[in-house]
Amino acid sequence: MAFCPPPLRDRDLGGVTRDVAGAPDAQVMRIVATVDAMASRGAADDLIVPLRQRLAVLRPPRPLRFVRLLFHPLDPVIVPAAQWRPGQDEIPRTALMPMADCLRHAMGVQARAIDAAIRGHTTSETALVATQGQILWSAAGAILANATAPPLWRETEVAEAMFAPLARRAGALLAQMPALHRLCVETVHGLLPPSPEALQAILQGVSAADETALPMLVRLMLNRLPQLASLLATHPGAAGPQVKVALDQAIDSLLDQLTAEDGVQAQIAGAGLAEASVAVRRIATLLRQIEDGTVRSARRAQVAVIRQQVDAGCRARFATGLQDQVLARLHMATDQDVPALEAAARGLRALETEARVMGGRSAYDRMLSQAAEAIKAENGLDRTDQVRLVEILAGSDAALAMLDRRPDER
Amino acid sequence: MRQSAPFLIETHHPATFRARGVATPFTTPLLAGTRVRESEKTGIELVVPNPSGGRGVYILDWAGVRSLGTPTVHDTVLIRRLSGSGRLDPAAMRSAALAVAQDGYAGRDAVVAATQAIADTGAQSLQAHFLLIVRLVEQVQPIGPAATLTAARIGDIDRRSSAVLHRLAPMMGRAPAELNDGLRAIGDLSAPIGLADQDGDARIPRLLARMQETQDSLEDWLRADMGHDLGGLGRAIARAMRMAADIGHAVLALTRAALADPVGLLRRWCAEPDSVTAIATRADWLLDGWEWVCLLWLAAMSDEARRMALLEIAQLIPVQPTEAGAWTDVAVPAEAMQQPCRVTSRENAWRSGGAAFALIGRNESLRAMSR
Repeated sequence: MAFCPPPLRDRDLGGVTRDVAGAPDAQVMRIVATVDAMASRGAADDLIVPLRQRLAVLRPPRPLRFVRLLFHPLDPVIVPAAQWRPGQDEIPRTALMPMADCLRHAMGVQARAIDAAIRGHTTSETALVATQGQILWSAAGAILANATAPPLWRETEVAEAMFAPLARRAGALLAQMPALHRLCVETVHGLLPPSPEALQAILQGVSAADETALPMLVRLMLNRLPQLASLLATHPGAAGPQVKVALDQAIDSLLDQLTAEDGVQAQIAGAGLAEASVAVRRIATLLRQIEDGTVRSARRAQVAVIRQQVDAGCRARFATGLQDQVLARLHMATDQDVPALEAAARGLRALETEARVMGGRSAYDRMLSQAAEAIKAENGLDRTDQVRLVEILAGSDAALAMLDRRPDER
Repeated sequence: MRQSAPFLIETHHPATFRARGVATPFTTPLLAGTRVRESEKTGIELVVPNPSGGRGVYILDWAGVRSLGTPTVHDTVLIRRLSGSGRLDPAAMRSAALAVAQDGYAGRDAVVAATQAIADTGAQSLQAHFLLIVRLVEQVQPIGPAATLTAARIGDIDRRSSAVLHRLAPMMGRAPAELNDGLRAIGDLSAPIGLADQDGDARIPRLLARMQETQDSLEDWLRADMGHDLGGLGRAIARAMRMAADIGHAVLALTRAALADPVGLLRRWCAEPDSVTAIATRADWLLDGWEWVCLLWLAAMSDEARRMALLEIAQLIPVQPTEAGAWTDVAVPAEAMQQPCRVTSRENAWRSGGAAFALIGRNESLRAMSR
């Protein structure tokens, strides 16, 4: 006889969400996939709430839906409703659905075409996100600028008067997302200098639509291209002073995020290895500009403390990654596991190389050296696999020494 | 011992293919575009492009390379193997690189790819040797088109080729077994070319097809958005690739034409084996270095990755030495002997530091895509 689980009641969820919040990454990914697959999520959606911050760093591929695609590029400025206060340079998550609803109605057939194009796809399909997203983001500016609060807005428990300014800001930002995306692509994420005209056009676009959205725009920019800070600090022209104020506010928000109780945890210690090393590079770039004075910030004195926090977060992430993703798996590793071990080792080295600018040099050296010794002692691994893992973790000289050792010396 | 600082040679226009060196599939990001060539003093030396992307190259021995940075174990093992391999040409490089990959130093996927490539090379050599014998018999004692060969006729070919070699031996001043060895050697040399006009499985036609695929993909991408061109870089690369492919196709056709005369080739082989080697390997030399360019492009899927690939490829476009113009009957435009584009950068962050680890992994993936 098939077992049919009793329906989940709202009052059951309190205990479950607490358990879910503390679940390991793999379980979190499974839970999210299950909830995402539900046709009607209802109360189960609440399960996801305590996971938002971890999802932001775990970034599991999520099914592409209209609302998710629409707000995908604004993710860094979206906060849980409970954390949001009027006047804050952020958007409460509960506001997303009503705004998406407005857009869907206004776009009509075009919205249904987007629905059809994204059905069955996930957020990991970056090309699809870019192509379908650009249609949506371009349309959002004009539609949200004049939108009125839909009936759904009542469920947000945010004052009705707040809808119009929030929608206008979101629209102003979304309308510039295709251009920001293009700027990122054109600079190959900072490798090439950005076109001053393109940068100016984005700033002017937001400024003209809703000046109050500028701090959020700058934050979105710095999140993707932190090296823009020094350029924005010296922004010429009439908009210069406003851009500088927006930059100050954006930097304050970014530093607030880092100094928050779980700020470093969210961005580094709880992130995937690749995301963590990108985050460290981004943070280091931003802090360097504040420290060397190319970007003026009243909080310059805090940089040393932030560095220490980031350093601690990096070391913690490195230590757990080394233990969980490499050392703990060595003994049982089969041939099929070796590529994953190597990928993890590479991710760790990428993180460690970026993290050294924050500190911890001797700690990393010690951990890497211990890991290399553990790999050398692991008899279950193929000799070449051992050499390659030692190479990745301890460098090619250590690996060559191992390779050149005579069999009787091993 | 203190090492002197590497010396940048600002003007590098190699006169010969051997002076240009052989493209080497190093996995160390900082060695991208480095070629290896024979050296009277040190056995082999490396021609390392100016890391800034500017003009000039460094000519270094392996110790000199190690003073610039730390190469991967794969690259060290490859150099050790090349150092003891004698004559250095694209075939020797390929053979050494496949052996190192098969030993696992470029990762597990590359082991599978190398094993397959070695098996394919063996099969193509065998096929080329056999087709040369068939053509030789057809040339000396015509029996009809080779395409209609049956098992019985293959046995017949064996018998008849022996007779033909015995007949040719006194005219060429060699024993029949020596002539057969010569045919086998010519078969090995011509295997990458493929003897049949429609043979698309041989390595050079496959490389030309890959170049065509790359060129089409690049040109489609450039057409889709003018902004992709990065100030003309994309078009310069596409033009250089088209030119190289055109020369490659022409040389392939000429080489296949030469292979249609096995008696003439055998005669040349007896008198001057190096001249046959030159004929059979000229397409390999001309196209040397282009496979990596294609792989870089074809592995880049997003717009951003493709822009990055263009910046990398700009440093790697193989420039033909002046010898190319005189070496083949095919016209080689002067443009093909000049670096078509340069990308200079003030810093190496994209391929050093933390980024280097991902790039090594990427380079190993490209090794696994190599055929």
